Amino acid sequence: MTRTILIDPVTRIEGHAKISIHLDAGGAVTGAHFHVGEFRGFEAFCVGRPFSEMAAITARICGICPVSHLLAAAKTGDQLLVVTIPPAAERLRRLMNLAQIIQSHALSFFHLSSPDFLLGWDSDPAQRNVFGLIAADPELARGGIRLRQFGQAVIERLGGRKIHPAWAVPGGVRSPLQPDDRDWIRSRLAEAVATTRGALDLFKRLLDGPLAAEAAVFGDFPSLFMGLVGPDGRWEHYGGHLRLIDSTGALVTAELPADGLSAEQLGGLLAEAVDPSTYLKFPYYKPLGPEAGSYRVGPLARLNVCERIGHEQADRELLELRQRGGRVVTSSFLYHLARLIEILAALEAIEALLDDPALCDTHVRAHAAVNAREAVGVSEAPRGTLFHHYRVDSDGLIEAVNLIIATGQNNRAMNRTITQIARQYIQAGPAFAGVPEIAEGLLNRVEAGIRCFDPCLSCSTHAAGQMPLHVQLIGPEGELLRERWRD
Amino acid sequence: MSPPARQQRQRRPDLLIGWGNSLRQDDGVGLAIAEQVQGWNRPGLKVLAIPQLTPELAPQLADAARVLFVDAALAAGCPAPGWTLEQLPRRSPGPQPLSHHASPGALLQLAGSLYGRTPPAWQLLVRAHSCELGTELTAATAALLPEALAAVGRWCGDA
Repeated sequence: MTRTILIDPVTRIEGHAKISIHLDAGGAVTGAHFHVGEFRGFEAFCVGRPFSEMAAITARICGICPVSHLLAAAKTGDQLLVVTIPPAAERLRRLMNLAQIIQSHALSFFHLSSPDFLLGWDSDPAQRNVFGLIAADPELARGGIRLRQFGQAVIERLGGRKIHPAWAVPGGVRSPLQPDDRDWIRSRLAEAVATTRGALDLFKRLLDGPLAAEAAVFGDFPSLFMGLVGPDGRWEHYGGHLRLIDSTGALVTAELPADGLSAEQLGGLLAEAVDPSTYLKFPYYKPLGPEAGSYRVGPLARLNVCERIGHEQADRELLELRQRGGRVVTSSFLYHLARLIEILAALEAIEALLDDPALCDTHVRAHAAVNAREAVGVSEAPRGTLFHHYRVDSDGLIEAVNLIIATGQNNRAMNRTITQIARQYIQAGPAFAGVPEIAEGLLNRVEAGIRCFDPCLSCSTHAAGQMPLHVQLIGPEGELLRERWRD
Repeated sequence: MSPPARQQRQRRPDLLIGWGNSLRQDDGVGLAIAEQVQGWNRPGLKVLAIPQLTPELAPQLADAARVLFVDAALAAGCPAPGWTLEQLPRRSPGPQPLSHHASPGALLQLAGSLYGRTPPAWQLLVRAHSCELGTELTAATAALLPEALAAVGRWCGDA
């Protein structure tokens, strides 16, 4: 007899993440899928609005990565105006994106994932959270908060508002950086670097010990990787070129410029598959098709596609990462390590920017009318490459919008990761009898497998950001065998 | 209230945090209220209008005399007359496995655990009638604003 454990979630709209694990007649795992039930229609909402409003609108999609949408929208606007933005504006946008990477990665590592690492996969979920972390390592928890505060404060000093700074605009930014603010940022760097170094040392010790097994089963598979690279293949987060490599490190296609990427080039590069069971699309490298063309984006992908970071401390960590995982690191578990290395890289990049005398230049915006009817803007969000694609009429009113977001691009990789975890922790074979339980350990690891990618599912109402975890076991005929919820 | 306690209250500001998504109609009612209260320029009251509750708010909570969270709620969480203002218990609602944002209870617990002080806190919930894409509140939720703002005013006056 099948026993069903069901805890009905309380969400404002249909916002919840569901994982279905499919079994064959022998009870072996054939696949697992991550579904996000959510409202669609943002693109239609934008039609008819001036393109110049898109930065402010898209920055309000999500409270977690507003800067990413802000910058991608502003960059798309630059292309519609066909302007080269002033050098100070580019530096300031870069500074804001670096701050966003720091604060977003800090939330992911210190507050969402560290409890898994420090408290163990089989610990009580009621304790395996930030409060358990506080009990285990209060300094680590406080350090994470201070890092987030630093990133947010940089964004606030640039944009004037913490979360939705409608500050980056087509043609540049609204206001320059004041020298006092530059000096304040500089004064906080040393502490932020020390916190990051401490977290890196801790995580590497754990990787060499209790977490070693996870690196092998948490999404370790070959795939393509995509990200921006700068001059000479350096780590990049704002401009440069799009690079797509395979797991051997070979270029899959010629690099494309991030700024000035045409709609035709984007259309030739990527296509998006749709599955009615999830609102997340499945972008893939078009010439290879949905399966072979699936790719990963985000911190690990950015470190895989680059030759070097270009900053001393981060480059040492990159070298160590490659000694640990190979030239192209395929274990999704090492996204966590990549996040910490990127925080360090971002802090060093900020330090370098602060030394640039052009940073506080007051000429920060170029003005023009609409000079192109269609454009693509690309930047790196903390979770991966973000594309905004707009088509406008002669008055600059939006006719069509498409956003290709990082969490969607990692969709197939998340499925492969939880499939790998389910296969490891759901035992089948001759001894299999009856329907396996959805054990606590499996639930914890599936949850943690998804967290490797730090997916952002709260691009709607904030209540939908409260994502209960819903796991279903599905039989060979599509029948529901068991399900379990965790709020 | 004892004189030392009153002095302590005088040194610390009250904190009002309204949050929500202003692109989702009534989901943004907390923001709308916070933005109106900001316009009152009331001394001793700090107001934040933000999209989500995140851990770095914890130090500000610990430093506040009292906190008022202002949020939207569906009908079940907000029976007639369409808004409620209640004091919050000082406990966490438990983990949220895939969420990037905290609840008021979790933030209060974080403030106490990491920064040594959990302020007394209240929550004002205003009924959301629609959370579809849109930048305006529905008429039904907008009609609740005067009463909800009056409730905030009374809460401030109690300080």
